[in-house]
Amino acid sequence: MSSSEKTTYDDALLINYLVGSLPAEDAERLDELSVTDDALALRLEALENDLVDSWARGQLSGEIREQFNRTYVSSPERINKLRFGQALVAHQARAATAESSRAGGALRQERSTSMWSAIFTTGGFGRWALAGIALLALLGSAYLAVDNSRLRRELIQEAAQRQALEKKQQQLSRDLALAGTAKTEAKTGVSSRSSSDQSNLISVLLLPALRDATDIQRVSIPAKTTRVLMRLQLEADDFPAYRAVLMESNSRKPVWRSRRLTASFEMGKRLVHVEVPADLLKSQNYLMQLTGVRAAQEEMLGTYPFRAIAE
Amino acid sequence: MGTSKQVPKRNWAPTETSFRNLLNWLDQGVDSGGQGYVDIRRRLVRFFDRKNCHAADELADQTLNRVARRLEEEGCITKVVPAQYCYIVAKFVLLEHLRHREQNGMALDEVSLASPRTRIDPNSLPNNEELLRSLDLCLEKLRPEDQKLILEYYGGEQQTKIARRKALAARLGLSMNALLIRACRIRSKLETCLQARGAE
Repeated sequence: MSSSEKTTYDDALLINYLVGSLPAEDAERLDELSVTDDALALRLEALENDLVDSWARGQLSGEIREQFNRTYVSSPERINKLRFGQALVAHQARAATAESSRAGGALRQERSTSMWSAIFTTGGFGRWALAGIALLALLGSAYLAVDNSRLRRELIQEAAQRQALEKKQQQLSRDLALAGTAKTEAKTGVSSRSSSDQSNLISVLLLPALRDATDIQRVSIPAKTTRVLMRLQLEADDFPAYRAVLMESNSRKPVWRSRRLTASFEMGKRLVHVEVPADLLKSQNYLMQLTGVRAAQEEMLGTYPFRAIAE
Repeated sequence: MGTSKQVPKRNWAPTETSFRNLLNWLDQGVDSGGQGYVDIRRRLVRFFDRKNCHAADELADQTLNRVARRLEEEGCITKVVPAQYCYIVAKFVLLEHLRHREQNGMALDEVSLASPRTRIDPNSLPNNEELLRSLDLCLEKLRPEDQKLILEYYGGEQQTKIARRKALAARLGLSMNALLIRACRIRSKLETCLQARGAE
């Protein structure tokens, strides 16, 4: 395989292959390379391991998570990988708990040392009385150690449950926010502020230009905005990667270019997310030009016109 | 050589000599201490697994047995590189397996695996004490430096993993690729150990 051919397989494509959502023809080529090409085989293995760990942490999102849950969990080989991922995450959770309890342990150790030195520096009856107290304390510590181990196990379980619930909650909030944004944008056609914690980011859904379209979409940019997230809606997701170029509408002069982007699936729409620095946008008309990238070839897919209104 | 032709392909098992020949052929003159075999076998298992063959291990072994048998019959295979040849044989093994499955209906193990009971619940939580204990035991079998490497490589916050892995590679004096190879091999060893403990 030539080196130029090797570069065509980006992570997003390989992940789609791993979760079984590539067309048969592409998958067949990767089947072969997964056995014959050392570098690709290694990359696939590494990606699969990270994918499994993300699953075990509840960090997969969107279409990949759905596809993963649908297809990945049904073979013994893969189930073994998932169990390992689960065990590894549990191991990490336990290590984190141990680390935090170690700090408390150091303090207890300090107190215990001063008690033993008190016994051996006191004489007569006082020494025996203190020794008795120390013995009781020792038995108590042994009991507490056993109990502590049980509590730690329960704590790990609780932490894992809490973590999973939080992840679910976050995902749900994201989905709801997205649904709300999409609904508003569909109604008004204008941009809306992101409901996320990043108040200096605004998000806007842009639709491809239609031949007979007369209205241009307006994007209002409040003064403190630093980034504008443009979500370009696709008619079809036919490319492993995309590139976007922002141009001034009249002169067609490019003012900004994106890096390689991949499409995602949200609320039934295929979208490419493009994050543009807000200070580039003056009050004027722009075109966002989207290109599909496959191997060394690029294909112009469409333009997304909008009018920026700097507030 | 003469006797091996009478044995049906499926039942043929490599002798010590034919297995050693296979290892040498896979290594192509650079002694890997059996790592070449382990690597190609792992890739074949993953290939069959991605094709939803539930006996992926067996099919990978069957593939390599056939290659070993061919090596014994022919003396050497020079027209294609070992990995390519193994893939060609694997495709035939896969086709035969699919045909066999079609003729005989789904194998029993595949029926049971297809049932919801045996599918992992994707939302199940990593709180399996037994699993954690098994992992501890498997980790203990590793060399201390490998133990440390694997926990550090796959541990910590996901957002910072690239920077952390770079720092780890620099500290160990390894390239990122060499670190990745080492991490994948250790992980694979641990997965096999965990699987074996699960089967006990």
